Amino acid sequence: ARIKKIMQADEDVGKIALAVPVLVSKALELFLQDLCDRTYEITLQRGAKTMNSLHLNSETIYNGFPIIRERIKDLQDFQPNWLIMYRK
Amino acid sequence: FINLVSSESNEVCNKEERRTIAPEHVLKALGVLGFGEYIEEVYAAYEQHKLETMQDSLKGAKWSNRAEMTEEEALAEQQRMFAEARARMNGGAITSKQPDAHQSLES
Repeated sequence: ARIKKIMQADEDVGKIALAVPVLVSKALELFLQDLCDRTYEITLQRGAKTMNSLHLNSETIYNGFPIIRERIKDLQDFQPNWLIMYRK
Repeated sequence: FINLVSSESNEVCNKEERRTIAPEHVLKALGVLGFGEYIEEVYAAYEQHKLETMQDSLKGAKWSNRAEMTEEEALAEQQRMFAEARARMNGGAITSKQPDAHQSLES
């Protein structure tokens, strides 16, 4: 239900088939797993034992997810804040 | 991320001149966005979702079957209660006999 609401927050998006939020939620899981894996690598590189938001930075996004990079026009403004990250 | 996939799915949907975003549109959108690696697992989740939906409908049928069984069980329980009542009456008689025997022993 949450995913459907988020999807339809975009006014261009119309009707959604019943199964679509299931697919999107799975894709989101996989994306978050990738993101955590990459951030953890940075955590290890810095010799830290606890992952924190500093390890989740533009470098992670820049290297790992080129498509998302294209959608972030100004990386200097990038913050590890989900709402800000995906606000268009 | 959800908005990203949504808008891309919407574009795929529009290209095919359809009004409702379908699972195929989401899979294509993932490919366009560079998340091709996810498509297989997402499709597997979709198949799983189908199976679960079918099972839910089957469970509904089972539930109605259980209701019928419940009625039969109710009848069986009624018979059991009647039998127990009869046993209680007989049991009462037996109980009354014991004091008599006890009294006869005392006397």
